[in-house]
Amino acid sequence: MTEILVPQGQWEPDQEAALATWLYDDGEAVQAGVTVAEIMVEKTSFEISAPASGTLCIAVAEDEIVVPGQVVGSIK
Amino acid sequence: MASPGERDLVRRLAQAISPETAVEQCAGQQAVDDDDDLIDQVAALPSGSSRLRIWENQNCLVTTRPVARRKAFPEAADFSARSGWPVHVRSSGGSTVIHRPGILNISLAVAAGAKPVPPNASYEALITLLQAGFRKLHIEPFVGSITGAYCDGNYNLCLNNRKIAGTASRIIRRHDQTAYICHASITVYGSTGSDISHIRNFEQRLGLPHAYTTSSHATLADMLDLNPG
Repeated sequence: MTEILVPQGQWEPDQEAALATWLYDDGEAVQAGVTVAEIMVEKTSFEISAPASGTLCIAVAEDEIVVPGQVVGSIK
Repeated sequence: MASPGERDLVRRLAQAISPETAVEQCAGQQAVDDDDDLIDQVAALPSGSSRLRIWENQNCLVTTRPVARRKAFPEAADFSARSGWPVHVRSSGGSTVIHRPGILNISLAVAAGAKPVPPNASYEALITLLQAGFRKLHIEPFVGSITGAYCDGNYNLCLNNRKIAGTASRIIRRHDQTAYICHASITVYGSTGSDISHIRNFEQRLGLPHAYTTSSHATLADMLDLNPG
Protein backbone atom coordinates (compact mmCIF):
# COMPACT_ATOMS: atom_id res chain seq x y z
CA MET A 1 0.00 0.00 0.00
CA THR A 2 1.28 3.49 -0.89
CA GLU A 3 -0.06 6.51 0.97
CA ILE A 4 -1.36 9.58 -0.85
CA LEU A 5 -0.13 12.66 0.96
CA VAL A 6 -1.02 16.34 0.88
CA PRO A 7 2.08 18.04 -0.57
CA GLN A 8 4.28 20.02 1.81
CA GLY A 9 5.75 23.49 1.42
CA GLN A 10 3.41 24.57 -1.36
CA TRP A 11 1.50 27.29 0.49
CA GLU A 12 1.83 29.49 3.57
CA PRO A 13 1.22 27.77 6.94
CA ASP A 14 -1.59 30.18 7.81
CA GLN A 15 -3.50 29.45 4.60
CA GLU A 16 -6.38 27.00 4.82
CA ALA A 17 -6.42 24.16 2.31
CA ALA A 18 -9.35 21.92 1.42
CA LEU A 19 -9.49 18.66 -0.46
CA ALA A 20 -11.65 20.02 -3.26
CA THR A 21 -12.18 17.06 -5.58
CA TRP A 22 -11.37 13.43 -6.05
CA LEU A 23 -11.06 12.89 -9.79
CA TYR A 24 -11.51 9.11 -9.41
CA ASP A 25 -13.93 7.13 -7.28
CA ASP A 26 -13.03 5.02 -4.29
CA GLY A 27 -12.02 1.56 -5.54
CA GLU A 28 -11.21 2.75 -9.04
CA ALA A 29 -7.98 1.68 -10.78
CA VAL A 30 -5.46 4.49 -11.35
CA GLN A 31 -2.09 4.73 -13.03
CA ALA A 32 0.99 6.17 -11.29
CA GLY A 33 1.38 9.87 -11.98
CA VAL A 34 -2.20 10.70 -12.92
CA THR A 35 -3.88 13.49 -11.00
CA VAL A 36 -6.23 11.85 -8.52
CA ALA A 37 -7.30 14.85 -6.42
CA GLU A 38 -7.21 18.60 -6.23
CA ILE A 39 -6.44 20.78 -3.25
CA MET A 40 -7.90 24.28 -3.11
CA VAL A 41 -6.13 27.09 -1.25
CA GLU A 42 -8.36 30.14 -1.48
CA LYS A 43 -8.81 30.44 -5.27
CA THR A 44 -5.72 28.49 -6.26
CA SER A 45 -5.87 24.80 -7.15
CA PHE A 46 -3.08 22.25 -6.70
CA GLU A 47 -2.90 18.70 -7.97
CA ILE A 48 -2.21 15.49 -6.06
CA SER A 49 -0.78 12.73 -8.23
CA ALA A 50 -1.10 9.01 -7.70
CA PRO A 51 2.20 7.82 -6.18
CA ALA A 52 1.74 4.32 -7.65
CA SER A 53 -0.52 2.29 -9.90
CA GLY A 54 -3.30 0.31 -8.28
CA THR A 55 -6.68 0.71 -6.63
CA LEU A 56 -7.58 4.07 -5.10
CA CYS A 57 -8.71 4.05 -1.48
CA ILE A 58 -10.13 7.41 -0.37
CA ALA A 59 -9.63 8.33 3.29
CA VAL A 60 -10.65 12.00 3.33
CA ALA A 61 -13.91 13.29 1.92
CA GLU A 62 -14.26 16.22 -0.46
CA ASP A 63 -14.50 19.66 1.15
CA GLU A 64 -12.61 18.55 4.28
CA ILE A 65 -9.81 20.77 5.52
CA VAL A 66 -6.39 19.16 5.10
CA VAL A 67 -2.85 20.00 6.19
CA PRO A 68 0.49 19.40 4.47
CA GLY A 69 1.75 15.87 4.98
CA GLN A 70 -1.68 14.49 5.83
CA VAL A 71 -2.63 11.09 4.45
CA VAL A 72 -5.77 11.53 2.35
CA GLY A 73 -5.87 8.12 0.75
CA SER A 74 -3.80 5.23 -0.51
CA ILE A 75 -3.09 3.06 -3.51
CA LYS A 76 -3.39 -0.72 -3.00
CA MET B 1 -26.25 44.38 -28.48
CA ALA B 2 -22.95 46.07 -27.76
CA SER B 3 -22.43 49.64 -28.90
CA PRO B 4 -19.44 50.51 -31.09
CA GLY B 5 -18.01 52.36 -28.11
CA GLU B 6 -18.24 49.25 -25.91
CA ARG B 7 -16.56 47.07 -28.53
CA ASP B 8 -13.90 49.72 -28.96
CA LEU B 9 -13.27 49.64 -25.21
CA VAL B 10 -12.66 45.88 -25.38
CA ARG B 11 -10.19 46.42 -28.22
CA ARG B 12 -8.42 49.31 -26.47
CA LEU B 13 -8.12 47.40 -23.19
CA ALA B 14 -6.71 44.32 -24.92
CA GLN B 15 -4.21 46.47 -26.80
CA ALA B 16 -3.21 48.23 -23.60
CA ILE B 17 -2.58 44.92 -21.87
CA SER B 18 -0.60 43.38 -24.74
CA PRO B 19 -0.40 45.08 -28.16
CA GLU B 20 1.09 41.97 -29.77
CA THR B 21 -1.58 39.53 -28.52
CA ALA B 22 -4.68 39.13 -30.71
CA VAL B 23 -8.03 38.69 -28.99
CA GLU B 24 -9.25 35.14 -29.59
CA GLN B 25 -12.97 34.76 -30.22
CA CYS B 26 -13.70 31.43 -28.56
CA ALA B 27 -16.66 29.18 -27.88
CA GLY B 28 -17.60 26.70 -25.21
CA GLN B 29 -15.62 24.20 -23.19
CA GLN B 30 -12.73 24.23 -25.66
CA ALA B 31 -12.04 27.86 -24.78
CA VAL B 32 -11.64 26.84 -21.14
CA ASP B 33 -9.67 23.69 -21.94
CA ASP B 34 -7.20 25.77 -23.96
CA ASP B 35 -5.95 27.19 -20.65
CA ASP B 36 -5.11 23.64 -19.52
CA ASP B 37 -3.22 23.06 -22.76
CA LEU B 38 -1.41 26.37 -22.29
CA ILE B 39 -0.09 25.53 -18.82
CA ASP B 40 1.00 22.06 -19.98
CA GLN B 41 2.86 23.61 -22.92
CA VAL B 42 4.56 26.21 -20.74
CA ALA B 43 5.57 23.59 -18.16
CA ALA B 44 7.77 21.98 -20.84
CA LEU B 45 9.58 25.26 -21.59
CA PRO B 46 12.65 26.67 -19.83
CA SER B 47 12.14 28.37 -16.49
CA GLY B 48 11.02 31.97 -16.93
CA SER B 49 9.05 31.26 -20.11
CA SER B 50 5.51 32.54 -20.26
CA ARG B 51 2.55 32.59 -22.64
CA LEU B 52 -0.42 34.97 -22.71
CA ARG B 53 -3.94 34.49 -24.04
CA ILE B 54 -6.52 37.23 -24.42
CA TRP B 55 -9.93 35.86 -25.28
CA GLU B 56 -13.66 36.31 -25.29
CA ASN B 57 -16.09 33.44 -24.95
CA GLN B 58 -19.68 32.99 -26.05
CA ASN B 59 -22.45 33.03 -23.43
CA CYS B 60 -21.80 30.39 -20.78
CA LEU B 61 -21.23 29.79 -17.08
CA VAL B 62 -17.86 28.40 -16.02
CA THR B 63 -17.66 26.53 -12.76
CA THR B 64 -15.12 24.47 -10.84
CA ARG B 65 -14.61 20.72 -10.65
CA PRO B 66 -15.92 20.49 -7.04
CA VAL B 67 -19.17 22.12 -8.15
CA ALA B 68 -19.38 19.82 -11.17
CA ARG B 69 -19.12 16.78 -8.86
CA ARG B 70 -22.27 17.76 -6.92
CA LYS B 71 -25.24 15.42 -7.36
CA ALA B 72 -27.53 18.17 -8.60
CA PHE B 73 -25.04 19.39 -11.20
CA PRO B 74 -26.45 17.57 -14.27
CA GLU B 75 -29.95 18.92 -13.68
CA ALA B 76 -28.73 22.44 -12.83
CA ALA B 77 -26.41 22.52 -15.84
CA ASP B 78 -29.17 21.27 -18.12
CA PHE B 79 -31.54 23.98 -16.86
CA SER B 80 -28.91 26.64 -17.38
CA ALA B 81 -28.12 25.38 -20.89
CA ARG B 82 -31.79 25.45 -21.83
CA SER B 83 -31.83 29.07 -20.65
CA GLY B 84 -29.03 29.86 -23.09
CA TRP B 85 -26.17 29.55 -20.62
CA PRO B 86 -24.38 26.19 -20.99
CA VAL B 87 -22.11 25.32 -18.09
CA HIS B 88 -18.44 24.49 -18.61
CA VAL B 89 -15.85 23.31 -16.08
CA ARG B 90 -12.42 24.76 -15.39
CA SER B 91 -9.42 23.50 -13.44
CA SER B 92 -8.63 26.64 -11.46
CA GLY B 93 -10.13 27.62 -8.13
CA GLY B 94 -12.96 29.91 -7.04
CA SER B 95 -16.63 29.45 -7.80
CA THR B 96 -19.00 29.89 -10.73
CA VAL B 97 -18.40 32.84 -13.07
CA ILE B 98 -19.88 34.02 -16.31
CA HIS B 99 -18.32 34.31 -19.76
CA ARG B 100 -19.88 36.25 -22.61
CA PRO B 101 -19.00 38.88 -25.18
CA GLY B 102 -18.07 41.94 -23.15
CA ILE B 103 -16.10 39.94 -20.59
CA LEU B 104 -12.44 39.88 -21.56
CA ASN B 105 -10.44 36.88 -20.35
CA ILE B 106 -6.71 37.11 -19.79
CA SER B 107 -4.67 33.96 -19.09
CA LEU B 108 -0.99 34.08 -18.23
CA ALA B 109 0.95 30.82 -17.90
CA VAL B 110 4.45 30.87 -16.44
CA ALA B 111 7.23 28.27 -16.12
CA ALA B 112 8.60 28.97 -12.67
CA GLY B 113 11.51 26.57 -12.26
CA ALA B 114 12.08 23.88 -9.68
CA LYS B 115 10.91 25.68 -6.54
CA PRO B 116 7.29 25.77 -5.30
CA VAL B 117 5.24 28.86 -6.10
CA PRO B 118 3.05 30.04 -3.20
CA PRO B 119 -0.58 30.75 -4.17
CA ASN B 120 -0.25 34.51 -3.62
CA ALA B 121 2.79 34.68 -5.91
CA SER B 122 0.84 33.05 -8.73
CA TYR B 123 -1.25 36.22 -9.06
CA GLU B 124 1.53 38.79 -9.06
CA ALA B 125 2.63 38.73 -12.72
CA LEU B 126 -0.90 38.91 -14.10
CA ILE B 127 -2.00 41.62 -11.67
CA THR B 128 1.06 43.69 -12.59
CA LEU B 129 0.35 43.21 -16.31
CA LEU B 130 -3.31 44.19 -15.91
CA GLN B 131 -2.60 47.22 -13.75
CA ALA B 132 -0.09 48.46 -16.32
CA GLY B 133 -2.68 48.01 -19.05
CA PHE B 134 -5.38 49.84 -17.11
CA ARG B 135 -2.95 52.64 -16.35
CA LYS B 136 -2.52 53.25 -20.10
CA LEU B 137 -6.27 53.96 -20.17
CA HIS B 138 -5.90 56.27 -17.13
CA ILE B 139 -7.67 53.77 -14.88
CA GLU B 140 -6.23 52.85 -11.47
CA PRO B 141 -7.99 49.78 -10.07
CA PHE B 142 -7.13 48.55 -6.58
CA VAL B 143 -6.62 44.92 -5.67
CA GLY B 144 -8.80 43.39 -2.99
CA SER B 145 -11.88 41.54 -1.87
CA ILE B 146 -15.42 42.85 -2.38
CA THR B 147 -18.09 41.52 -0.03
CA GLY B 148 -21.15 40.38 -1.95
CA ALA B 149 -19.31 39.78 -5.21
CA TYR B 150 -19.58 36.42 -6.93
CA CYS B 151 -16.35 34.36 -7.00
CA ASP B 152 -14.85 36.81 -4.53
CA GLY B 153 -11.18 36.64 -3.64
CA ASN B 154 -8.23 38.69 -2.49
CA TYR B 155 -7.05 39.44 -6.03
CA ASN B 156 -10.05 41.11 -7.60
CA LEU B 157 -9.44 44.31 -9.52
CA CYS B 158 -11.85 46.92 -8.25
CA LEU B 159 -12.97 50.48 -8.91
CA ASN B 160 -15.13 52.55 -6.56
CA ASN B 161 -15.45 49.53 -4.24
CA ARG B 162 -16.96 47.43 -7.02
CA LYS B 163 -15.42 44.37 -8.63
CA ILE B 164 -14.60 44.75 -12.31
CA ALA B 165 -12.33 41.70 -12.63
CA GLY B 166 -11.93 38.40 -10.84
CA THR B 167 -8.92 36.11 -10.83
CA ALA B 168 -8.11 32.48 -10.07
CA SER B 169 -5.01 30.35 -10.48
CA ARG B 170 -3.77 26.80 -10.84
CA ILE B 171 -0.32 25.49 -9.92
CA ILE B 172 1.08 22.23 -11.29
CA ARG B 173 4.31 20.21 -11.26
CA ARG B 174 5.53 18.80 -14.57
CA HIS B 175 8.99 17.70 -15.71
CA ASP B 176 10.48 18.67 -12.28
CA GLN B 177 9.23 22.18 -12.81
CA THR B 178 6.49 24.27 -11.20
CA ALA B 179 4.21 26.00 -13.67
CA TYR B 180 1.20 28.12 -12.98
CA ILE B 181 -1.59 29.81 -14.83
CA CYS B 182 -3.45 32.83 -13.57
CA HIS B 183 -6.67 33.84 -15.24
CA ALA B 184 -8.67 37.06 -15.03
CA SER B 185 -12.15 37.87 -16.30
CA ILE B 186 -12.64 41.60 -16.81
CA THR B 187 -16.22 42.82 -17.12
CA VAL B 188 -15.91 45.49 -19.80
CA TYR B 189 -19.59 46.03 -20.61
CA GLY B 190 -23.00 44.43 -20.22
CA SER B 191 -25.44 43.87 -17.39
CA THR B 192 -23.84 42.73 -14.15
CA GLY B 193 -27.34 42.32 -12.69
CA SER B 194 -28.16 39.84 -15.43
CA ASP B 195 -24.81 38.07 -14.87
CA ILE B 196 -25.61 37.62 -11.18
CA SER B 197 -29.09 36.38 -11.98
CA HIS B 198 -27.77 33.61 -14.27
CA ILE B 199 -25.21 32.51 -11.68
CA ARG B 200 -27.75 32.64 -8.86
CA ASN B 201 -30.29 30.56 -10.83
CA PHE B 202 -27.64 27.90 -11.44
CA GLU B 203 -26.31 27.85 -7.88
CA GLN B 204 -29.78 27.75 -6.32
CA ARG B 205 -30.44 24.51 -8.20
CA LEU B 206 -27.24 23.14 -6.70
CA GLY B 207 -28.33 24.10 -3.20
CA LEU B 208 -25.53 26.62 -2.87
CA PRO B 209 -26.64 29.49 -0.65
CA HIS B 210 -24.37 32.24 -1.97
CA ALA B 211 -25.80 35.75 -1.71
CA TYR B 212 -24.55 38.29 -4.23
CA THR B 213 -25.33 41.96 -4.52
CA THR B 214 -25.52 43.86 -7.78
CA SER B 215 -23.86 46.85 -6.14
CA SER B 216 -20.70 44.76 -5.62
CA HIS B 217 -20.05 44.63 -9.35
CA ALA B 218 -19.55 47.13 -12.14
CA THR B 219 -18.47 47.13 -15.73
CA LEU B 220 -15.48 49.06 -16.93
CA ALA B 221 -17.84 51.00 -19.22
CA ASP B 222 -19.92 51.99 -16.18
CA MET B 223 -16.87 53.23 -14.38
CA LEU B 224 -15.59 55.26 -17.30
CA ASP B 225 -18.98 56.97 -17.54
CA LEU B 226 -18.78 57.75 -13.83
CA ASN B 227 -15.22 59.00 -14.14
CA PRO B 228 -14.88 60.59 -17.59
CA GLY B 229 -11.41 61.39 -18.81
